[in-house]
Amino acid sequence: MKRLILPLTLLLAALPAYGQGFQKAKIRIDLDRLASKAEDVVEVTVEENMLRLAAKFLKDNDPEEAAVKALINGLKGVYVRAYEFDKEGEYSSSDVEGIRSQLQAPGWTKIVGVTSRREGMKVEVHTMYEGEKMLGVAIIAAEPKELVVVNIVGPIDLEKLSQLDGKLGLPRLELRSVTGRRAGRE
Amino acid sequence: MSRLDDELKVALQRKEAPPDFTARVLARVAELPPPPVSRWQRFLALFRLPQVRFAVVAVAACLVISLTFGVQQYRKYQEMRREAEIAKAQVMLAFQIASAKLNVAKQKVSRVAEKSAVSEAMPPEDRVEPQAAAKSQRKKR
Repeated sequence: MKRLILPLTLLLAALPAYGQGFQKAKIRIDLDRLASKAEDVVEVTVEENMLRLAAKFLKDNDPEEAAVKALINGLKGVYVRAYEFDKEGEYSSSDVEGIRSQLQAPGWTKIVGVTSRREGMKVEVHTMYEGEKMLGVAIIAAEPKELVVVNIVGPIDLEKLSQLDGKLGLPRLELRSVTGRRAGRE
Repeated sequence: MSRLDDELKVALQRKEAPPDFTARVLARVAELPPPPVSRWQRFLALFRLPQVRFAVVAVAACLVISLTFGVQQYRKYQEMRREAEIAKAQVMLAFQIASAKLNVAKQKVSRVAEKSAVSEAMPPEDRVEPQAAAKSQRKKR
């Protein structure tokens, strides 16, 4: 028993630090001022305890819900701010700079950066890793009439996440791409 | 008439009961069979026992407490379920938005990669460098 005291003490001391690594991947999305200008607003904030609760009620026999349940496993938080505007120019690059500057901190890596001057679109995907462990992902999608910021804290399979597109039948934000097609299930 | 009066007086004169009268009456009552008791009356008679009364009160109290606790727990469960359904919808919406944007980026990257592959597949003499293309455009004008 005496031999276990030291390892147990060290383990208990290290436990609070376990969650702090993931908190580095949480970014501050300070875009509330855009809500009053936007025609459609989606604000999602789901913390770890609610994610666990949601996972309990996701059905295993429904393929879509089972896929979402598998993705939720291990996540610490999901945060989305999506704004759709009536006309162009309702937000500026300075609105997004506060978020981009956080993604330039050590640990963040931009894995995809797509810019289309013709469409006026810019999409960035950033990830944070600690060794081989993924801590989180951040996506910024800026279009002339739409701004979307997604921050997922925790390990997530981006390939499986991208496969969900168009498969989740939900009451949805009328998000439009530049071509005018609506996002979600056709 | 007076003779009749005298006879009536003697006949109606108070007479004391014999000393063993009470005992004889009680003895005859004891000999009588007990009145028949129905099953229901026998059942009700059980509740006159103090132990049975205590047990019934205890069981009733337990039932009330269990029912109250059960209703409370059910309401808590309903509330938790409602919160979970909201969280579930929010998560699915968030994933839908994230996956849509990821796919926009993927499609763009794929398109660029395809263009590069097509360009590399062309014979070297047919490939146009950006600067050479600009010169040829100016010459045509």
